Amino acid sequence: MTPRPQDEALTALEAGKVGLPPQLRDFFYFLLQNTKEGYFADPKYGGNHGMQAWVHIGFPGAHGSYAEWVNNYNADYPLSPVSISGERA
Amino acid sequence: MAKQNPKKDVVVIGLGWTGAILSMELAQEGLEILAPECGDDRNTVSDFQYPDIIDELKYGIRYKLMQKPSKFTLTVRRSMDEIARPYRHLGSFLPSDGVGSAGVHWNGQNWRPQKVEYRLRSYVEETFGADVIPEGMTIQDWSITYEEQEPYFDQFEKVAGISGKVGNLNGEIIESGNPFEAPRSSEYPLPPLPHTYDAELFRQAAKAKGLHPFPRPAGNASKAYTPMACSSNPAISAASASGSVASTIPSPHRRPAFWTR
Repeated sequence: MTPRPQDEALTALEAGKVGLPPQLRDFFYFLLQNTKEGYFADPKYGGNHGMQAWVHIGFPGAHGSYAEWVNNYNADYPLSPVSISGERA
Repeated sequence: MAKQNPKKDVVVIGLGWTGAILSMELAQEGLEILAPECGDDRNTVSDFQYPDIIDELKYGIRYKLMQKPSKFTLTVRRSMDEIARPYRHLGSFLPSDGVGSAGVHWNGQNWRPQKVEYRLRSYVEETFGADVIPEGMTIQDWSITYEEQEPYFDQFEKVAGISGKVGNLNGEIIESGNPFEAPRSSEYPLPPLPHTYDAELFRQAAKAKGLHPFPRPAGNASKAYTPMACSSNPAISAASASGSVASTIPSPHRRPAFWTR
């Protein structure tokens, strides 16, 4: 599908207008939830490749400690994201 | 044919806060203990180790350390008009599961009770008059006092490594702590957690209004800490999760004294 039919399909799905059987009532909810999870979770789950989602939102990832930074009010956090596996963005 | 298990001295149901501490202290007395725990066994090093513990999807979203609604859940209804239905996805409350139980994921707020809470009925009668207590309300005084329990609060805080600032040290009021607290016999074993910016703004605003902001007593270690009680009381091992929240997980070398299943 091209982008516009894709958007229309998703919008209809979210609005419950696709006529799915009752046991699939929560399909869109899980689709959206899993998409968010894949996008923002640690790269070990297969999404957020190279931590690019974290770079995009400025999230530092799996750094071990922030205690040293707590009192640096309103200062930019200088380190780039790190994943659970130890890779750096 | 029914299975016959070996006889033990004590059965402790569950290895959460109470069960774990109880089991450890009884084991130290030389008793043999059976501690059935329906959840998973856990160890400090393998189960709470950084960096795996910082997995937000697994622990923060999918609630790995919590009870599984598919295994055990409650029915909930929000009004008398609704039919109570099983809670299928945890949200507003997070019951735990496994060794350490809620202690492995609690927020770590470690308040002591107020003195009056031990004699609440007397306090209400003295302060507001007995007539204010509705017919049938079962409010009562406890049979123990804060003073009797104080040494045990002190011991627990030192084993768990609670971070805070004393506000009432044996009757002496200390400005930077909670001036309203029941008297403590000693300072907290660890200094208070540092303030994030929002907490600092709140503190300044509250102080400017003549209020008494103070750091909340936290079961989160503000510094590296070895419980002093461990050297003299190896039965109690306060394990620190990677986020340094105090929890009680039975120390491995006591395991021969009791087993879980």
